[in-house]
Formats: sequence, C-alpha cells, structure tokens
Amino acid sequence: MEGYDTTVRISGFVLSSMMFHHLNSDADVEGLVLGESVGEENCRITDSQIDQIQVEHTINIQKHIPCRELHSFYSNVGVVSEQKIRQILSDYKEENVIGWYKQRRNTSQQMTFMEQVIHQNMRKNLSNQELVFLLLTPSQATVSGSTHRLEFSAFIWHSSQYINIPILVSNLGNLEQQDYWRVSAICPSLGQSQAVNQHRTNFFCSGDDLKEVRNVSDMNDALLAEMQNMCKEVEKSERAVEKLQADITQLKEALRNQKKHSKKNETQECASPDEPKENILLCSALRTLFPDAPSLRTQTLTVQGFPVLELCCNTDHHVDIPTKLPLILENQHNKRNVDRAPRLRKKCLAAGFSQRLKRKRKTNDANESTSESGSDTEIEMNGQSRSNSPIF
Amino acid sequence: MSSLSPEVALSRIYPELRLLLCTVIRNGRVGLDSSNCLRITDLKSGCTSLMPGPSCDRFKIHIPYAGETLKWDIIFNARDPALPPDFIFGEDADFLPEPSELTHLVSWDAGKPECLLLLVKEMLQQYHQYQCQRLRDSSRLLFEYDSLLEDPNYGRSMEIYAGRKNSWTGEFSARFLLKLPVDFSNIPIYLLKDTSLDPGEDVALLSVSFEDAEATQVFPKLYLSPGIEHALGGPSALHIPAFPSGGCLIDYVPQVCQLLTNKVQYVIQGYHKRREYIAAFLSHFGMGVVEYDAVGFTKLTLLLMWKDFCVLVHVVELCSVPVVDLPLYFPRDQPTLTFQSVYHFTSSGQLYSQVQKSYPYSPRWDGNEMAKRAKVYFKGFIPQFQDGAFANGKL
Repeated sequence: MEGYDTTVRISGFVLSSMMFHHLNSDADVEGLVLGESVGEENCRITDSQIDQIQVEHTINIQKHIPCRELHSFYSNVGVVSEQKIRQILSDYKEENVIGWYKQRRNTSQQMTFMEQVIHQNMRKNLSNQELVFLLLTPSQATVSGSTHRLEFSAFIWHSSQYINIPILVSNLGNLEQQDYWRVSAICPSLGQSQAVNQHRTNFFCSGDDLKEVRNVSDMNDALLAEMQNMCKEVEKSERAVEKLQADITQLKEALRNQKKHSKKNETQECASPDEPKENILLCSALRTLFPDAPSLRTQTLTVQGFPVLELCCNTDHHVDIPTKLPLILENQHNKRNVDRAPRLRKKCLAAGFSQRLKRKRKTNDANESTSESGSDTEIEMNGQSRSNSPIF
Repeated sequence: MSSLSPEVALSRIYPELRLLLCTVIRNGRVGLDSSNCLRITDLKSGCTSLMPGPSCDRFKIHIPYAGETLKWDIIFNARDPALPPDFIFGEDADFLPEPSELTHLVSWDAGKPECLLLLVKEMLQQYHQYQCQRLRDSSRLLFEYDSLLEDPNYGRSMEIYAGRKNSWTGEFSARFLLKLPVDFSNIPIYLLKDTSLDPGEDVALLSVSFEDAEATQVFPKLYLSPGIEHALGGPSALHIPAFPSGGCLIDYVPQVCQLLTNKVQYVIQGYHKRREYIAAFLSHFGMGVVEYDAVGFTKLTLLLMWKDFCVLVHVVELCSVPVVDLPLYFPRDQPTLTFQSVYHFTSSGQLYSQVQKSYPYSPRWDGNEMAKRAKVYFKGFIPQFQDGAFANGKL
C-alpha cells in the first residue's frame, strides 16, 4: 500500500524576498522558482506484516526569478515557450526549475483557468511532473487599509486534479524535534563556509558589522547633521525676528511718547477759552521792542477795552531773540515806524487784543501793505521761514 | 455581495476596460433566460491603494444558466489592459475549457467592445458541454439528455445543470431548462403591449428538476415571458400536468409544448372571433352602435329604440342601452349582455340596468348568426326590461 505525501519547503528569506520584491507592484506579477525536489521512501512494518510504503516528496524552493512582464513565456492560450523560459533563466539551468509563481492582488486562493493551462503545458515542456505553482494573494484586511494580508499556498497536479499542498517556512532554523535529519538543510549550497567567505564582503564591513546596518547608520548620521544645521538656521532666524520685534516695539514706544508729548503740547496750547494761552515769542518780542510799554504784554482787557496792567506779563521768558526773532533786532536799527511783530497775527483766543493791534497797524504804516490774514504770505515777504513758529 | 447599478459599476472600472464592460452590462444577454442582462459585483483592484482614480480591474460576473446563477471571477490587469482576462469558475473548479476553441481568446482584441461578451458566450457553450458530460454519472439522466438531443426542436435550445454526486448516498440531481418551440408571433399585439411590463423576447421555458438519478422525484415548472403571461390571462392561466411517474422528457416536453400551443391558439382564435362578432353587429345594427372596442374587440354598446316617442334632441328616442362584454375565451365563453335604461335611475343614483347571461347562444354560430339571434332576443326582452325600469327605477 502506497501513500503519497508532498510538502513544499521554503526558507524565510526566500519567501520574504519574494514578497518584498512584489508587494508594491501595481499589477499581477509572475516568475519562475528554482530549487530541488527530493523523494524519500519510507517503509513501515507493522505487526500485521503489511508493508506500508510511504513516499514523501519535499520540494525545496531556493530562489525566485521574476518576469519583467505578464505573458512573457506563454501565449494568450497558455502555450509555453521553452526558449523564452531559457531567456528568463539566463545563467540558471532549466533543470533547476521546479515551478513558477504568481502574485495576484485581491483574488481568491484558487488557480485560474489560464494558470491551470499554463501549468499543464509547463509540465509537458519541462518534463517535470512535480512542478509546483506558488500563489500569493495580497489583500486588504481592514476597510481603512491599515492592515494588509498576504496569503500564500502551493498547488500541484495529482490524480487528475490540482491539490493544495502545505508550505513549510524554515525561518531561524528547523524547530522540529527529530532524531535524524531526513530532509536537506535550509540552503545546502550556502552551508559551505567557503561560499560564505566569498560573499562575506558584500554584507559585512571590516569590523564584522553588517554593511546594511552601517549604511543605514551613516545615513541616519547625515540626516541628524542636516537636521542640526537646519535647527541652527532656524534659531538664527528666530533671533533675528526677535531683535526686529524688539526694535519695532521700541519705535512704537518712541512714537507713542512723541504723540503723547505733542498732544500734551496741543493740550497746553489749546487751553480752555477761559485761560488765554500766552504767546511767549510775542511777549518777548514786545518786551524787546517796547520795553517801556508793559500794557502791551497783557492779555486781559477791561470792559472798556483798556489793558489791565495788573495782569501784564512781566516774566522774562528767556527767549533767545537773535536766534528766534532776528528780524526784530534788524528792525530795531531801522526806522521804528515799522513794527513787524504785530503782523504775526495772533490767532489765539485773545480776540480784543488783536483788534487793537489791527487798528494800530493800520494807522502806523501807509507804505506797508497790511494783511488781515497774517498768513504765511506775510511771513514770506519778511523773508522768514518759521519752522518752529508758534501755533496761533 | 451587493449588486451595483450599471452606471456605478462602470464608474469604478479602470477607464481602458470600460468599453468591454459596457457591452457586457448593457447588452449582455446570454443563454435561454435572456430576460435579464449579465450583472457584475465585487469590483476590486489589482493595483496598490496608491493608484489614483478608478482602478477596478477584477470582478464577479453573474450568469443565468439552467435556472442557476453562475458566479465567475474575471481578472484583468489595469497596467496591461490589452491582455486577455483570466477566469475563476467559482464552485466548478474542475471545469477547464479548451483554450484553442475559444476564438475570442485566441485573437483577443481589447479594442473590440463586444470581445469580452463573445468570449463569455463561448465559454458558456463549453460549460454546457462540461455539464452534459457530468450527466454520465447517471445513466438515466444521460438517456434523457440523449433522447432530447436527437430531437431538433429541443436539442438546440437546452441547458443542463448537473449537481454534485454525493459519494456517500449516491444521490445525484440535475436540472433541464428547455426553450419550447411555440410560435407566439400571431398573438394580437394589444395583448402583448403593456407599458408596465418589459416586453423583451417572447419566450416560454420549461424547467424540469430531477432530484434523484432514478427520476422518481421530478418537478417541472413553466416560465413565460411577461408579455406572453399577460396575453394568456395571467400566471394562473396555464397549468401544466405533473411529470408522469416512469415517464421521460421526450414524451413530456412535447405534451407541454402542445398544451401551450393550444392555449395560444385559443387566444388567437378568440381574438378573430370577437372581431367577426363585432363586424356582424356593426353590419346588423348600423347606426345603433354607440361605440365598440376597435383594438381588442371586447366591448360593444348599442342604442336601441322601441316604439317611438319624442324626447329631447340629445337624448336618443330609445329606452334602453345594452352593453356586450366579450370574454377572452370567446366564443367558448358566452358574452354577457347588460341592459341599461337611459331614463331610469336606481335609488343609489345609478342607471337602472339588468344583466343577462342566459340567452340563446351557441359557440358554433358564426358572427352573422349571433347578431341575428341577438336582434331577435332584444326585441323580445326590451319590453320586459322597460316594464321593469318603470316599476323599479325612477326618472
């Protein structure tokens, strides 16, 4: 009595490299798998004296070779081309082909119509009756797409149908508790230290560190350095911004003070109508021109229109006449029938006094052209520019 | 599994595949039961989630076949839309069509809109062969199939679905779906015309389910297209006989076919008879005809006068108005005469009327004879009706 038992063995890194290679592909992917097939016959003798022969086949997958595109070694109707297979294999031997694989996203774990046809044709063309078909089907496990699932299984033709056979993944080592090793090791060719030494430099640095780890570490260092520089730049710019903000604050403060000050001045000058503002310059000019006429320096008149001497200004305002009122000094040397100071019309609120000045002006100078306005025009005629002129 | 409307399904399909799908969804009628189009569900994409835009390139197609619905997966590749699709045949995992016989697979043309539909039809033909092959599990059912196949009336319009043989109990079931070769072309158009019903193709399908391989439990059922069902008088108008014990399909199917044909003939003849009847009444009563059904010839209204008396102009000088209702299965079924007074009312405000169902009548008379006999009957009955109207009605 004969039983048939087949398993597929694949090492962890071969399976993971196959998955990793194709996981981000935007189309179905297929390729060839290389390895070896080992058959073992076990004979069990029981008390009933019946020989039980168990044939165990183990298909070891050792490598995968992806095809660049679909339909690369077969036609629309599944006719397989040996030549194209050889092209895909390039340096590998056709005898090492033990099957082929396909990755199809979002489909069921079932062989399709064309896959079955292709597999049958490959079995005929490659004269290998134990070809295996490896099927990988990634799919989304959750609606949000946060978790993905990748199922894999192997199919083999047996007894006029395709059957699903188990895949054993050898990862960190064979964990099965067995007395003897009945199957080949994970990767027999790589078990030789000579081969490992030959390729060692591709993976390890001089200090026995893994190259990939060092490469990643170097890249990490470079990233950190770049980040540090960027941090410094950010700090610099932040400080500059801080300084500018401080400057702005200062300027705003100065502006505020200036406004306050000028407002204060305005407030002082625009005093209530009951408190007449004193024109210091006028007072100083009158004092200079008419030192003996204190009545001219009063802002208060009686009902009859006479100045109140008790309220005359006797304060020396300490105005620098040559600087502030140079024309007065000039005119003092000229004929005193021209008194220019009263031309600067007071627009202040001492109304009565201005009227008297008007009358006086009119009677004094027949050559002088008097202006009622006391505008800037008069000032210009006098050749004075009053940048610091008081506000009337 | 939700069914999507055609527009929604098409909007999710990868643009370069839309043309192929459009033909399948809108024009995809396959098999004997072509009342509904093919439909697609479970649209999925073979691309990663980073692929922008509609990218569905694989889906399930639902195909009506032999009273079942086949659910096949069709797999395209959005990145290679020119490549032909692949198929997964659902539960029929051992169905493997011969690819070289699939013409539209051999010379697949993605630019041809009907290519996918034609490929599906070719596959369906091979599927039919596959199901017929499976009948070999039962010699009895194979005999049924072979005998029907020999008859050209049924052999070409047959779908078979064979279930799984139960290896433990040996039970095996199968369903035969046959298109009956009945001519519906002479059914009057007005009977088939109904805006609420989808006209579709006029077809009659006979489904015979064998629940066991020895044909001891057989359940037949007749499916009529909506137009035909309406024309024959509704779902309960036709009852097919039960499958005879020990009988076989080659005897039973023609029997059902004949029954349906007879029914259709009844309907057609009834129509022609009614038309003849109306024509005869028009000829005999002339100006006395108020109105009649000129499409189905099912109603006729006359205005008769007995003993002159003067009335208003718009009211005719007649005292009674009979209405004739012709049944669908006329002349087998006798028409109903309703006499109605134009002057008299009942207490409920309706016109005073009397219905007469038994009067001299024979289905073997021709229309002319019927009109003559009706005239004689009217002359005799109207005076009685007048007396009754005066006695029981009010003006």
